Amino acid sequence: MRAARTPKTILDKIFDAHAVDEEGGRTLLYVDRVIAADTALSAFNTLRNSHRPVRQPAQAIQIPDHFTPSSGPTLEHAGNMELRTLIRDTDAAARSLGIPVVGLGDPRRGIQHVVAVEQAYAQPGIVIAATDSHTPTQGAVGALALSVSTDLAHVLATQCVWIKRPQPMRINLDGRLAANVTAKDVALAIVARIGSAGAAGFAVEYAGSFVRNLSISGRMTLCNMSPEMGARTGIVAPDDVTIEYVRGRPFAPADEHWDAALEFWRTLRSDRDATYTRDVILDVSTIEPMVTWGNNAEDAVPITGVVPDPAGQISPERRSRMAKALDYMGLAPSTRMTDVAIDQVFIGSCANSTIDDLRDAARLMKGQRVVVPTLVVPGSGMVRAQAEAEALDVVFLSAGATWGEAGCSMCNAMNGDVVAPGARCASTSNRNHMGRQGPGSRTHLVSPPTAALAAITGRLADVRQFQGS
Amino acid sequence: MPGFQTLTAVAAPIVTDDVDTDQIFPSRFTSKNRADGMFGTYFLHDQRFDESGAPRADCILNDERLKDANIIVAAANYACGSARPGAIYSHLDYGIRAVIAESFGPVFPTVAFKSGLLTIQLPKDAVQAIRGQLLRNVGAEVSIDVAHQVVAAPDGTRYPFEIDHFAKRMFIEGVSEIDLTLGLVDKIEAFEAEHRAAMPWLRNSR
Repeated sequence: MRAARTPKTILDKIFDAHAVDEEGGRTLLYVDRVIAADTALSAFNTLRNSHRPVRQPAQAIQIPDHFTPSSGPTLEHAGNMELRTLIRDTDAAARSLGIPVVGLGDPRRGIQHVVAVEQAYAQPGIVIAATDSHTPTQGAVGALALSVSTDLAHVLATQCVWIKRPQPMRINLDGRLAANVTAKDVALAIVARIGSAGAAGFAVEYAGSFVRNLSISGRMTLCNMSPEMGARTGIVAPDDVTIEYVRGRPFAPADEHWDAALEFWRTLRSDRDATYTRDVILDVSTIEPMVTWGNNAEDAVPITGVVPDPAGQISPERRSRMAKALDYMGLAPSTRMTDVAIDQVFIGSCANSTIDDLRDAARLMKGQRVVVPTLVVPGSGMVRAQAEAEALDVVFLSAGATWGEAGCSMCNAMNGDVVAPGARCASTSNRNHMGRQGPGSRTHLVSPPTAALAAITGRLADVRQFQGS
Repeated sequence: MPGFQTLTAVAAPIVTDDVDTDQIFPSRFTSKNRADGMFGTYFLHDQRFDESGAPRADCILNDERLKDANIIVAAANYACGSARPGAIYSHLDYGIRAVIAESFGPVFPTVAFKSGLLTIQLPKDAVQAIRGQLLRNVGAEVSIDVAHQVVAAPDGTRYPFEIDHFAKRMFIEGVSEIDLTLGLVDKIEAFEAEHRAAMPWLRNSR
């Protein structure tokens, strides 16, 4: 007699393969790989002060990105002495705990999530943990990627994290995108539809024919935006695209283990009869280029749309937030998004800084001149080198843009790259919160093509009408 | 840091949805050291103070009657966004010991209680009712009984809340989660050995 089989989602499969213990509804989940960053000093100090070793230092890596300068390759370029000291001390603390550092000066340096995917440090079926809220980006390659915030010290000391199993949610995406519309527009369209807490308590699996045909870069963008809809994480089941991407990368399985790894990865798809607590279905072919008008990613409308009117909101909490956002953003209800003038542009961040993203931006910027200050920051040193090999840096520089060194840069404005108070920035990053890009900064979240078009026109514009030079 | 069993304290209402961690603990303070003692000042800094550093009249936290508030009653999706530790610590250093909300961002409630900041999720109508009372009667007190899992509004209405056994113990006793987990080290070691044998490709061989 065959035992009854419980259908499982990919999330269940990875979760079950890493469950060490259970207690009171929580699972002690084994963590295969840990990423620390330049925000990890207090976690490192917690361990050092209590004389606790890192359980498996070879399963951790230190990748400074939040405070690192974009203006130059070395520590000397850091925004100020405080940042310089912090980056140096955090790297030194990591080394003292036996954790390898991919720091400034290392060609692989960059934004932790971009580096992790690019080096295949993140790979199918593993549990990977980092403090940073955008760790779910790494779900693009089929990893269960968790932001653990202040639990970093615990993860390093025990190689585990206590977690309640998130509910499974599937976002099924079918259809083909219009020209110059990207995965970023899809992500913004999803958040606009389900809301900033629409996936609260869920782990989101992105599925459907659109996702199957999407590059790892596009999958990173989708997964990256999962926290903006309240999700605990996002994931795309590994397929041939994933396997071909991972093959041969530095942390990929060694040749002698490749076949065994592949056999395991092939099991990492949700069973056909697996059930999801929530299902969302979207046809991407109708998605227009999306832009945000407010201070949350859900405040996204098509580029052909207008700024909404708080008066039309029934919920007083929503009306309050919307009115506050419009005041902060300096926008009047019913303003057409294409009438919004832009003061500066940022192309980068863990949402949009891969070589594909830079190619998307360069395609529109080629042979043009930027009319507002424009900063382009690749996601990693490897992306930067690849872009230079393709002469994309020449495209950006001859257009008058600034070509930065890899890091988080102006997305979170922690390294000194700030948007001026009151200035309006078209940004390929993932958060448009008040003050996110500096005190008084006004962020409009957009895709790389829309950011590039904003740079050369000085306004939010429809990339579908761009003819090129 | 240990939390509390019971707390009766002035509660401050925050009526807007999506109060994110960029507002709670602005980016430019993330490189600061908590030991410098300024994290309380950084809490919701740009909401509380204008560019010149003067208190904003339209921020309810600047109301004299709320200066000793130890509880915040917020709206939906509170503390969404960045997982920066300063978002937790700045609440504590400002004096906030508990936040009651309709919902929270994805990471904040999974860790805040371990540092002594309790997050309580209540249904929307309950939170709206409590907030309404706090707006009509600024400076009113809310009671929280963690052991019995009940919030009492200023008008005495009691609202039960959920907290799992694990979180309750961690919060009340302030026990080190690392110590608790290391008590299971035999299980972790056994799992690790088996896991490594099953997935030998995960050794960082290159």
